[in-house]
Order: sequence, then C-alpha cells, then structure tokens
Amino acid sequence: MIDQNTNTVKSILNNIFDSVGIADKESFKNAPDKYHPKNILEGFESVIVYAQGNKNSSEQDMGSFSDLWGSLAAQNEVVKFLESLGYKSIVISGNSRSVSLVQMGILAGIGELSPVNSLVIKGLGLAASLAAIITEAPLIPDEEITGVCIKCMKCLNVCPATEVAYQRNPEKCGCGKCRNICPV
Amino acid sequence: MDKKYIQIFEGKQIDSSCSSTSGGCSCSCGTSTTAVTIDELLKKYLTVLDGITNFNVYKISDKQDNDEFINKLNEVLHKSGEKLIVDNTNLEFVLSQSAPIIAVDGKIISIKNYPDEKQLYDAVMTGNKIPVKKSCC
Repeated sequence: MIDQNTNTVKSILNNIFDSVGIADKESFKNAPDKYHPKNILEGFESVIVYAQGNKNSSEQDMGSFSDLWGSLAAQNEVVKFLESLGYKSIVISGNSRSVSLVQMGILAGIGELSPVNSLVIKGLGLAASLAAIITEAPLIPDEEITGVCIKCMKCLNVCPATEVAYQRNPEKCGCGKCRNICPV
Repeated sequence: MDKKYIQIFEGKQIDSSCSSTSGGCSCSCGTSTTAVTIDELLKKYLTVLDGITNFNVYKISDKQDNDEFINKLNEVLHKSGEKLIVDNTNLEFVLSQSAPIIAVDGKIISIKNYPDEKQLYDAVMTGNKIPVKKSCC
C-alpha cells in the first residue's frame, strides 16, 4: 500500500515537475529545530519535494513555477489524495521561511548543496523552483545523491551574498546571477 | 463595442509594494513601499478604461462564507482552461500563490501583482496576458 501511494503521488507530480523526491521522518533526525518539518506538522512521516527548472525564464518571479495553475492543481491533487487516505498534508511554497526547502531537497534526493547554499539539481542547475508537501502519510523515501555539483565555484564567484562558500547571507540574495551561470 | 468585464480577485491585503508603479519592495533593495486601497486603484484604471469596461471586485472574508468568491474564481479558472478547482480548504493557499487575480471577460490575464493603467488597458484591448513581474527578492 505504501508502494502504491508513493507511486501515485510521484505520478501526479511528475506530470508537472521536473524532479520529485521523498524524505522520511528519520532523515530529519539531525535537522535544526528551527527549520524542522515537525514545526509545521507534528505528526509528519514524509516530506515530498518537487522542483521545476526555469533556466530560460526571464519573466517569472524567482522561485515561482512557470505553470502556476498546473502546479497548484497537481499539489492540490496530491493533498486531496493523501487526505482521502486519512493523512493530513500541508503544502510548503517556495517563499516559506519556516523550513529549509534546500535541506529538504537534499534529504529527498533531488539535489545537492551548492557553494552559495542553494540546491543544485541534475539537469536544472541552480535555476529551479522548489516546493514541498509535508504529510502524515508514510511513503517510500529516496536516497540522497552526490556528484551533482561539480564544484566549479562559478556561482560563488558571481554571488554578492556569499563571501565564503556555504555561508550565504540570505538578506542579500536575489539577483539571480547564480541561476544563469551554473553549468549543471 | 461591447463593454469588457473585468473581475479582480483580491488576496488578503492590497499592497502596491513591488508593483511596477510604486517600485516599493519588502526586500532590502532600498525602494519605498506604498499601500493603496482598491478604490484608489480602480480610479487609476478608470482613467483609461472608463466607458469601455465594467469592474467587479471580489474579496475574501474571515467572517462570512466565501462561496461567491470561490464560485466566481472557479468559473474563471474553468474558462481559462485550468484544471485547478478551488474550495474552502485550498482557497487561502491558492490566493497566497496567485492573488491578485485579474480576469477580462472571464479569462485570466494577470496574477500576483496589480498592473499599471497602461498594462491593464493593453491587456483589455489585446486579450494578452500581463507577464508576472520579476521581483527583486
């Protein structure tokens, strides 16, 4: 049943998003309390993370999905599906400051930490919009991945918010230069 | 020419910060924030659209049911060819990602920010969507 539920969730999201991964509760055992998913949903069992690439977008907001209505419909469908099974689920949007979507993406196996503290995703580089669903549903987790970031440091060289690798100042983030320069 | 019918679906608050007219933003970019009421915004729109449009503004309420808001929004989504169906359980989330939503003759032409008068006029006349303004943060 968990297999089936996991496949259903991924199937819905894969129609819209470029990358989908799942982290289980156990993955977060060392997560900082401040950004822990349990603060959003105490009885959570899984976190579903999904990303959409937008390397070529010049018009959309940083962090937003290009097909907004399609992405909302897919997220809504997943939430309704899980609720029909009795599991509460909460959508975490890309502009949430209550959790770390980057950390969730790493634990869900969809990417790796870049030197500017954003998520590098295979084929999408740093130009991806992220969101997540925190759910009470037990789902099959994905393994974390390595080797996505090639450590070229191009993002670090252009980033005005990061003087030292992996120590970005979030208040200065937002120019988008890293998105365009990442070769991944 | 038949009058165009413009529907505006507001989110929880109206704030022209990060709009193309005020240039205000909540990030540290240094520009100022100016909040305007929906009535003030409609006056601006009517300076270029008076006589050729009818407006209807829908607001959500914490105190009353939002059935009319939801029904009208679903009509617009359906006419715009979208699969999403809004209900009381997802309304707040949907609006947090898309409001304000502006439709002309039942089809969505703008989301996430209030366009200036010229942008709205052009969209009304051509039927083209207004691009989502890239925010600085």
